[in-house]
Amino acid sequence: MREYIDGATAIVRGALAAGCDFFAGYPITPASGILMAMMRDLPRTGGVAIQGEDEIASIGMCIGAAMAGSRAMTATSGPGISLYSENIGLAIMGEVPLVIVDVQRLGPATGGATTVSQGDVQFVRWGTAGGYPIIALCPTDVADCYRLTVRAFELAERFRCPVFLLTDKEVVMTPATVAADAFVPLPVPERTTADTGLPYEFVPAGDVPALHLIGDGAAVRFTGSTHDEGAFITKHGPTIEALNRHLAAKVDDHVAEITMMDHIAQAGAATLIVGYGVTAGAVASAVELSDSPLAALIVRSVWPVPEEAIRDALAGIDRVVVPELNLGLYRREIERLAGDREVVGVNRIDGDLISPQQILEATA
Amino acid sequence: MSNATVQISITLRDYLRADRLPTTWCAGCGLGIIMNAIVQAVAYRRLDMDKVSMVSGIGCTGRMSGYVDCNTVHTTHGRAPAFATGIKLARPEMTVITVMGDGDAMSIGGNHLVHAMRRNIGMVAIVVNNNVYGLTGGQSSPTTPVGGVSTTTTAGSFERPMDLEALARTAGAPFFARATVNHTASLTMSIEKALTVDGFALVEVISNCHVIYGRMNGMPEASDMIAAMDGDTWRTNPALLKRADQSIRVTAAGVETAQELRRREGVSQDERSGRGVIWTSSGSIDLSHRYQREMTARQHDEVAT
Ligand SMILES: Cc1ncc(C[n+]2csc(CCOP(=O)(O)OP(=O)(O)O)c2C)c(N)n1
Ligand code: SF4
Ligand SMILES: [Mg+2]
Repeated sequence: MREYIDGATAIVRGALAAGCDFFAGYPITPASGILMAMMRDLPRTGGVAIQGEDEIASIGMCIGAAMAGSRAMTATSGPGISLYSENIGLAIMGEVPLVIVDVQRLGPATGGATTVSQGDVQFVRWGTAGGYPIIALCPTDVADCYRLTVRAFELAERFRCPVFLLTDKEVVMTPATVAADAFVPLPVPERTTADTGLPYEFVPAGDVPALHLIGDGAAVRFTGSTHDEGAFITKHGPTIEALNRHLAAKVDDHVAEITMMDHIAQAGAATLIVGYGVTAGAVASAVELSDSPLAALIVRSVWPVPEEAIRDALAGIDRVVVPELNLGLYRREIERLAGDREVVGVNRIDGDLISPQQILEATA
Repeated sequence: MSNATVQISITLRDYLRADRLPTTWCAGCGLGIIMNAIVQAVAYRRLDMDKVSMVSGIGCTGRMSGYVDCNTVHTTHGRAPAFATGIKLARPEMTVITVMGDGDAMSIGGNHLVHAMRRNIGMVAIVVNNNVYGLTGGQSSPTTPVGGVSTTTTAGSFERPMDLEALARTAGAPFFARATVNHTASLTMSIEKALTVDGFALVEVISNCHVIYGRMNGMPEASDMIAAMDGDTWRTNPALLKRADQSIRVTAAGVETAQELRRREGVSQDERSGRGVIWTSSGSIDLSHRYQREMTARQHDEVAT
């Protein structure tokens, strides 16, 4: 059996499969489909959905609900991520599990509301003050939206942090034919909670403490200010450092666990194409259409950068092609790993998708 | 007599995180009085502190959540009502108290305050109005009175201050009370009453930032500012306190004056307080229940069938 559905529907199905029971969002094309579907479907499953007065409120409501035990998700596009910025930091500091969907659209400011883009790939990475690591997954197509949404919830629980699902207008709004077995039931991600002990253990730095939920027994504290393991504001240097190292280490120490990528290795290939998100289809087609052998890497976990896996894929390669719907934003991550290999971009910012032919021209 | 006064004795230590005291607030700051009043009101209502959440923004006022021993969430500047809405929708059984400064609630967070009132989400929102941005060093706030000197209005402000009561009425809050830190019994009573409201209850508290605002406006001592709240009110906030001279506010049936309330609730001390305002509109329902699981699901099913 097959279905003709869009990425928004797949994301909502993924969220429901992952036990999402709280959604707040503010209308914005191309993410509104997720808001509308959540407002319609979430209450039927016993959850709560609310349209916030703006994006700042929407992410704030999600964080509040998550602290009180909900599994929360919000969805927006670039202009909304701008408004989420400060509270993304709060979710990092508060170690709050949260899934944030960014349906990218083109350009700065209002830009092109219905125009495809991958212009936020560095923005989500550095979208809040302080420079702390972030996790971001990039679905390649409608079916992948389902799997990666579930995975985003898993990672949010596992690492107690906000996780981005970084997608785009094309994947989310354009219906595609999907095999029904793409939506196999997946287990609801595990959640580890506690109501005794310290709510914010920092040591060992890479460990993730159990969630302490508001309303589940003893009172829970939280502050967005620099705090100790009991969530009391502190100015004690070693404690401050331990907190900040913990917030980085709990992601950075687990890159291998987070890494998701598809590697198409081919004997004799000297050129590697690295793509992510909506360009994955064109990358795969280019490999098939090419007369000479080409290798390809589809990065599905763009942040943290899966450096080990990329280095492995670079073995035996002397030319790398990075197609992106921006001016080469992720290419710089590849360049710093590529040593003296030649790295070239295939870039479009005119609202059209990159074709396999364009990629093939760059591999020549 | 049926309306006997009930004696309750509470130990503040049980409600505060004694190990975090003293607070970082300046000596004589009205915030201590307000924290005390909140805790007393919670105690009078015999609420279980594990089932109370205090959500604060950022500012001197925002620091309050660090000292009260319940579920506390110290959030981002202006956004406390949004986090509080999330908590209330996730746990409707929770008593949610949101604490904000005047800049927090009316400037950067004005939008969230308006919409929390419009939605009528069940929470008590306490706005500490000290006419100034205290924490950041005395910049003007939306309630700095005309002529009020601040570090960003050194020649006196000429912008018109905002009237929170009018905003509450327009935005649809079913309950509003205004009290001052000089009228502690009515302050406590207002918060206690707010805690009984089924919906959004707004309590504005006129407080003193003598250390910054007072010094710049000829009231360098806490006592100067507190005295001004009683008589010479134009100096603290003419737009608000002059209106407060009328102590009866009517919106709908079931409205009580401050005096009537005090009599009914058996509060006898502090009869000086004629400057507070309190009103309730009858028939309020906390709309957070509308977002609640079964109910919304049922509505959807009804629509579907
Ligand atoms: C986004 C953002 N902008 C600015 C600040 C700096 N800031 C902290 S508190 C504050 C104003 C405090 O004034 P008010 O809300 O009246 O509280 P008070 O200190 O008077 O109690 C400001 C501007 C901030 N924390 N976050
Ligand atoms: S600066 Fe003003 S508001 Fe802040 S603690 Fe001191 S007196 Fe109170
Ligand atoms: Mg203030």
